[in-house]
Amino acid sequence: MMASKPPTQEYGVRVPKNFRKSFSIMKFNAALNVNPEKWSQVRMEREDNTKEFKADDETPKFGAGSEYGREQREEARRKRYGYGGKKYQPEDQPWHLRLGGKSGKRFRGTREGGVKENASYYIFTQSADGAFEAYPIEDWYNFVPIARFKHLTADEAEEEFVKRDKILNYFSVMRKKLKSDEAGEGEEEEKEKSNKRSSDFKISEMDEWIHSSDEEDEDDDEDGEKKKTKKKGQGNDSDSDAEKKKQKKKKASNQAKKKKEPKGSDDEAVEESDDGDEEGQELDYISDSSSSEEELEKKMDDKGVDQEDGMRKLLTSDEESEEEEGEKEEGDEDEEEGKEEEDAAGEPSSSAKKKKKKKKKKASSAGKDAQEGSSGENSSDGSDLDVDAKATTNSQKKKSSKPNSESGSRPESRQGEANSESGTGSKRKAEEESVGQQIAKKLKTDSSSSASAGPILPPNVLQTASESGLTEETVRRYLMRKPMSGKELLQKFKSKKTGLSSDDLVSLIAHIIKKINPDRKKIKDVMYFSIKA
Amino acid sequence: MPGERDMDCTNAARGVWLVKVPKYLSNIWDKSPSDMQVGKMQITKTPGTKPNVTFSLNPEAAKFAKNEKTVTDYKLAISSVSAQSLVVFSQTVPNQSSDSVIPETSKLSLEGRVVQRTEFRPVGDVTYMNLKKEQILKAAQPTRMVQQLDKIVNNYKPVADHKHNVDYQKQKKAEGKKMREGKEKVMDMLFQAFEKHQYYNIKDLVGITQQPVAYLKEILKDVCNYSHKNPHKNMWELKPEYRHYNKESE
Repeated sequence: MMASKPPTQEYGVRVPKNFRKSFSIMKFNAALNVNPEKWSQVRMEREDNTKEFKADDETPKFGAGSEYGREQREEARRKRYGYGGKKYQPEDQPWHLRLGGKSGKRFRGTREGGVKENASYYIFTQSADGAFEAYPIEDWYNFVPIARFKHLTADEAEEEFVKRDKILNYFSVMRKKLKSDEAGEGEEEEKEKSNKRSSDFKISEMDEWIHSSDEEDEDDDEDGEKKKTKKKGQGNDSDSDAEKKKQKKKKASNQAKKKKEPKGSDDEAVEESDDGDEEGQELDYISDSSSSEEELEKKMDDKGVDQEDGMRKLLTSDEESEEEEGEKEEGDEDEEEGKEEEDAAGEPSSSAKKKKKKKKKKASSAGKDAQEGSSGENSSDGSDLDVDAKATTNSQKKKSSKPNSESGSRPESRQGEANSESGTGSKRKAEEESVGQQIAKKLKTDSSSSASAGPILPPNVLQTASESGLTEETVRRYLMRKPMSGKELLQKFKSKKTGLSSDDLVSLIAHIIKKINPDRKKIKDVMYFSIKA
Repeated sequence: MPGERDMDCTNAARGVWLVKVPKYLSNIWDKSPSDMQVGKMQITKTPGTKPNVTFSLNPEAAKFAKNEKTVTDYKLAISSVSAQSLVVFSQTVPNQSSDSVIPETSKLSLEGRVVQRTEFRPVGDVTYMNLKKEQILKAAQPTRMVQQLDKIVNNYKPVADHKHNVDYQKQKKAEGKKMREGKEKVMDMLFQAFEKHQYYNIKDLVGITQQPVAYLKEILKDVCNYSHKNPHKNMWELKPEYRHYNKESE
């Protein structure tokens, strides 16, 4: 019908019907530069979301914990209330596309709705005889690349954004995150170990199904080999469980190493100070210069003080105790004692010291176990990791119980000294802080070194304490009400006028807490105790 | 999902057209037989301008249309795909009816890359206008309309006793009262049941053991604990000393 002069080609159009074959479109963003011609080792499968789908129903079907006829009953109940449950449909799950083998790109394709609502789409291909064949398109899938690197969540990103002007090395931001993640994993690991569960450690659901999809496949073995040598941060999807475990071990050992690193080594490079950092605090000519200056100084001093004895103790108590042990081995105990008295006013009574010493002994006797013990100290109260280590501890304790019993009387005199020394307010605050830490610390040493802290306390102290209302029961009551830190507990009893020296009070409370063995929780570097009612 | 996960990439380099077709035309295409030529496409290339592509529907195929007259001539508007890259893949579902020894698996294969997007645009003549008019009129029709009934609607009276209830009663009567059996035997049955599940409702246990409730309760009190609280409210479980599993349930 068009003008006859220009060349016109005519093609027939057929619509072959093949009901078993359905065509779909994969949609990629142009920026991804997807070129199917270059694709190799293409693998695509539906995501397996059965786990998420059935997440609400974890009760076993039979055996322990199962109910007879539960499913039927649930079904009947649902029918009665008029809502039919959705069935899991594997055909509705998003696609998961992998290009170029194991380490290749990955995409996730979610179905797009509404495309076919008002029009139909066909694919036209030219067949051998020149005619066009039209195949209807059933579905559209939008394929989006899966990020294979760790990224910050919205909250974390915001946190880092606040520090944006202070961070010099942005690379370390992610590095730190990676590390902290690993540490978290490590904790979980420990938990699992203690639970003695054989189930494998999972990083995420996504990794899991990727892993499951790869497991049965042989031709990717070399890839797996490569993976092993890769950085372990990415090596989440190894081939077999055995390998997984191996990696786990590696991770754990790495952590142990990390723990020993001096504090601050893994801190990111943060600008120390800058011109105009304290501009707001700059003096005006009008204001009383001396007072504000003092204030500033005091502020700095405050910070310094509690960093020195309070915070550092808690943060690095593990390391420190180790360090101290090392120092002690050198033999100049007296010098060190003096030093410690200085930097933490009213710091550890000699009993605590003795215990530390004991711990050292234990370390030497228990040999290699010691490291394990110290690394697991955070959770050592509950963990029965190495029973024999504990046994040796007990025997050690019996040997050294004699010096312990006499140590109880000593602190009082020292406390007096400390009190007379502490004159300024800031120092007093520091002292209180450190007393709070003491409890925490003591607890730690108690829990690790001795099964019962009974013999430390002289009976007369116990008596006066119980008279003044400081008993196990009262502590229990306080903890039941709300979680409290050691310091808060101490204040509670100080106000009651127990008539005890603070050192005795500290050891007594530590003893009681030890006895009660409440739940511990670290909030902002302060140990909080609580009892579930 | 069952079947092959590896994709057949033999057709990956093939360029295909993605064609948008109005619904009324695609309805016709769907109804037409597989080997039928539904229409003809004419490509006229005039040097210097874009090629002019038209499509005319086969009058044979036009018979599959819902109404007699349908648009037969279309102009194809061709555009390129630039904002996104589109790849076509197909999924072949295994043939259930085939009785080959090796069951077929579903197969995935790449069918090509979309090189051109095309749109079927009907030539706006009288038939098209009529078609549109019909569509509009149809869309304007309310889905629910008032209807006059010419017959009395039969309303059924409520039934005092449904048939299945009567049957059940009859059956129960025929069975008679449940007989008490020896305690040992009942306990054996109970233990057997508790081997399969941890928690049982009293009703289910009655059904399993076929014992009178009072008697069963008597025995249950000996060997079982009754839980008053959720999550297993009003259910019986074995006392710890009788359990075959070690795990203590909350």
